[in-house]
Amino acid sequence: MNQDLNSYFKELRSSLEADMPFEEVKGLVQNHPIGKAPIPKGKTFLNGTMMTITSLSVITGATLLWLATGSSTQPEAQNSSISAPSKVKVETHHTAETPTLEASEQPSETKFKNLKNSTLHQETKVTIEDVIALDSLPVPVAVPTPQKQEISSPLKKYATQKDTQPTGDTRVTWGTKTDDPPRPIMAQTNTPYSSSQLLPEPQSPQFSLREASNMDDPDPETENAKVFLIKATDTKEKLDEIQKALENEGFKANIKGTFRNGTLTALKGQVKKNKSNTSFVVTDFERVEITVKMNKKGELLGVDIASDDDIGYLRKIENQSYSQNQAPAPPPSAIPPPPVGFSPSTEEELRQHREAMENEAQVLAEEARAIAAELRATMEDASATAAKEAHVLRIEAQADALEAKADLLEESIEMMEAKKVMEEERIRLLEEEIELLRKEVKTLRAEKDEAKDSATAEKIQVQIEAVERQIELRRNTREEMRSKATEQRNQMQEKRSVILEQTRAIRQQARELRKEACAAKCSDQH
Amino acid sequence: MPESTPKQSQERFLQLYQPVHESLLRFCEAMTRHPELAKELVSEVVLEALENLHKLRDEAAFLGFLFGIARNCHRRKFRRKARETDLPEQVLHRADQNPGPERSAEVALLYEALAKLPEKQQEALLLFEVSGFSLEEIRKIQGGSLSGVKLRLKRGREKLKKLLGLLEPATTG
Repeated sequence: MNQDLNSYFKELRSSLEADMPFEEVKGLVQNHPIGKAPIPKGKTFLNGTMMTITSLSVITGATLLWLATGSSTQPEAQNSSISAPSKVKVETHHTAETPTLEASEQPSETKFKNLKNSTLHQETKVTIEDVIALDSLPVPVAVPTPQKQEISSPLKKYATQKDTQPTGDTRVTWGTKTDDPPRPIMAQTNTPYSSSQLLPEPQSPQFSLREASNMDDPDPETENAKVFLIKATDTKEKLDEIQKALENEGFKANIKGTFRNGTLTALKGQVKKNKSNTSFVVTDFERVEITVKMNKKGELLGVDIASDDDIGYLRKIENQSYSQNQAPAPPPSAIPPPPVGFSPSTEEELRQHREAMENEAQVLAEEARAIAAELRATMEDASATAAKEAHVLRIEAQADALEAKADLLEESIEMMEAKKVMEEERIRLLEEEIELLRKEVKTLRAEKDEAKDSATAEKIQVQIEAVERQIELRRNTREEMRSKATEQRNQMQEKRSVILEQTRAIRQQARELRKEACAAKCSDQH
Repeated sequence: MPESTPKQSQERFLQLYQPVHESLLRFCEAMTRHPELAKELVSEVVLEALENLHKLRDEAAFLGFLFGIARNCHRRKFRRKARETDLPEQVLHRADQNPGPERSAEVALLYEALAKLPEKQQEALLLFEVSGFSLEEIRKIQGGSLSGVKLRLKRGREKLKKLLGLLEPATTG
C-alpha cells in the first residue's frame, strides 16, 4: 500500500516543472534596494535652519560642530534661491608636523575624524554621546588676533572655521609640501548645501580663515595669486589653456575634466612645483574659481578652490577686508570673549572664564543632541521611504510577471488560432474527401443497379458499405476536431481573461503605490 | 548576530539560502501547484527573508525561518490566488499536454487529497516527499519533537491512503 502512495508522490515529484535557477534569486537579492540604502535626500530642518541634503552631501565633524554652535537664523535665507549643491574636495600634502585632527587621540575626535570623509548615511555611526563627548575636549580659549593665527587644537580649528564660510563641509588645508615652517594657509570650502540657505550672513567686521591667510602675510609681495575661472560650459581646450598657463609659470600642472553631454561635470587636478604638491577634486558645480597662490619667489603656497556661490561670497568678504583694512574681530558667538581686564594670573577671573566656557559647552551639547535627533529622524524617514520604494518595486515586478504571463497566454491563443486554421483546413480536406466518397457511392450504386447478376451486385454493395464506413469515420473525425479546437480556444480565452484581470488589478495597485511614494517624496521635499 | 552592512547581509543570506533553493522551489510548487506561481512565491519569500534577516539570531534556525516565511506568505497571498485561478484544472490541462495522461491524473488526485489534510500534516509530507528534507530538518522547520514529525507523517499517509482509496476494505469476521 505504501508502495502505491510512493508511486503517487513519485509522479508528483516528476510533474514539478518550475525552473528557477539560483542565479535568478541571486540577482533578485543583489538588486534589492536593501543593498543600496539610499542616502537621504530632500530638505530637513537642523537647528532651525533649513538644509538640503543631497546624495553628494558630506558632513564632517567640523560641520556638525558648526551646526551646533552657529547661528540658527540667517537673515537672507528667506529670499535666497536654492542653488545646486556642489562638492569640493581639496587635498594638500604636507610633511610638516602641524597638529591636525588625525593627530588627536581623543576618542570622540577619532569618531569625527572617521566621519570626516563620510557621507550622510554613514553619519549615523556617530551617536549623541559622541557629540556630547565633545564637551570633554579642551575648551577653546584662543582669541584670534590680527597677527598670525596659530591653530593648535582641533576645537580651535572648528571655532575658527565657524567664522569662515562654513557652507556644509569646510576643510582646512594645512599647507603645501614645502620646506617652509608649517602654517595654516586657508580653508577650502565645500558647499553640499547652499550657502545662502545655511549660512549666517557674515557680520562686519567678519573674520575668516581666508582673511586670516591674507592677514598672516601682510606683505603683498609674499603672495602672488593666479586666478582661473572655469565654468561647467567650458571645453577641454579651456582646461588645456589653464594647464599651459600654469606650466608657463613654472608649475607642473595636470588638470583633467570629465565631460558628460558636453558639460563639464567634474574637475580633477594637481599642481606641483619643486617639493610642493597640491591636488584637488571638484564635482557638481557651475563655476569654479581656482586660485594658485605663490610667494614672491614663485613657490607654490597652495591652491584655493571656490565653487558656485562661494565665489561671490568670498569676493564679498575680500572686498570688506581690503576696504576696511582692519583687524578681524573674533566671532560673536563661538567663543565668549574673555572678561575685560583678563589676566590669566587672577584665579577668580580664570574661574569665571571657565564657568562661561562650561555654560557654552552645555549649550553646544544640547544643540548637538538636537542635531543628532534630527539626523536620526531624517534617517528613519529615509528608511521608511526606501521600504516603500522596495514594496513598489516588488509590486511592479509582480505586475510585470503577470503581464508576461498574459503575453505568453496571448501567444498561446495565437498559436491555437493558427492550429485552428490548420484544423479547419484539415476539416475542409476531409469534407472534400467525404464528397468524393459520396460520389463514389453514387457511382457504385449506379453500377449496382446496372449489374447483370446478383453476385456482382452483392460485391458492389460491399464496396458501397465500405466507402460509407469511411465517410462516417471521416465525419466523426471532423466533428472531434471541431469540438476540440473550440474547447481549447475557450479554455485559453478564459485563462487569458483571468490573468489579464489580475494584471490590471496589480498594475492599479502599483500605480497607487507609486503615487503614494511620490507624494511621500514630495512632502519630504517641501 | 553582529551588525553588518547591507551588502554583507545580502552575501550572508545568499550563502545560507543557496543549499535550500531547490528544496524551497519544489516545496513552493507543491504548495501553489503551478510553476509560475511557485516562482512568484519563491521571490516573495526570498525578499521577505532578506528584509528580515536581521531578526534571525541563530543561523542554525535559518531553515525554520525561511520555510516559516514561505508558509505564511503562501497562506497570506497565494492560497486565494490559487483558488481564483482554478489550478486543479490547470494541472489537468497540463496533464493533457503530457505524454501520460494517467500519470497526471494521479498527480491531480494526490493534490486534491493533500488539500484535504490538516496543514501541518500536508506540509510535513511535502517537505519529506517533495523537498527531500530529513526528519530532523523537518523538525527544525516545523518545530516540536522528532516523534511529533514522525507521527504527522504517519497520520498524513494514512489519511492520504484513505482519500485515494488505497486502503483495502476492512475484512469482517
